[in-house]
Amino acid sequence: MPHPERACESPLGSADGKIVLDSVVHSLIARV
Amino acid sequence: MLGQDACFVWHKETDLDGADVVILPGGFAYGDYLRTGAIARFSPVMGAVQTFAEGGRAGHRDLQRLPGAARGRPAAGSDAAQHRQYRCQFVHVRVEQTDTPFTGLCTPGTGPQDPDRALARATTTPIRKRWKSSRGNRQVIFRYVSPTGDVTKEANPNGSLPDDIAGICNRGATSSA
Repeated sequence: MPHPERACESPLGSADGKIVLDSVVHSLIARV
Repeated sequence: MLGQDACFVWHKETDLDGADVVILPGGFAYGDYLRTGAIARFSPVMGAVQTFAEGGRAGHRDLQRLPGAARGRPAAGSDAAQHRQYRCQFVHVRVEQTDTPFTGLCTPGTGPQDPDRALARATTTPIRKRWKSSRGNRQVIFRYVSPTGDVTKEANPNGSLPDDIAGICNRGATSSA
């Protein structure tokens, strides 16, 4: 299963997963 | 990091302080054989988590029964069964659905690359039935692929079955695993 939270900062190897969490925030803001 | 307020909720608490989003930590100790999700369900806070998930219609329990989210021993014949390990490494996944809260900013058919702990799964009949239903509901949101975007055996090191599913959501797209 995906673990985007483990791929949110380049120093940890990758920031590619951050878009998943950004999507969630974006979706909640859009709903307000 | 996301510019939002966040807090830790200890597992012995019983409410979620009005959170908009709940993220459950995965448990990867001892080769995933401890089934931490099954153990966690006895924690006091999980009642509130269940209520939270069900507030968005189909609940988290639904997800645990769907392919890809369920835990099990490496399926016979899978790569994971052959190397007899659960591997934790960066892999490529393809975004299959962009009309979910989890993938709304993604471009269809592209990354994100993801460190993953895919869990192999024996494909029993009930699981297969559920899988058909999840496919019909467009619930598969990530799939393991090679760096060039192809579905290959090597791109799915832990043998997630069926059909290289990496990530799914519930029917209401309010929970993802």
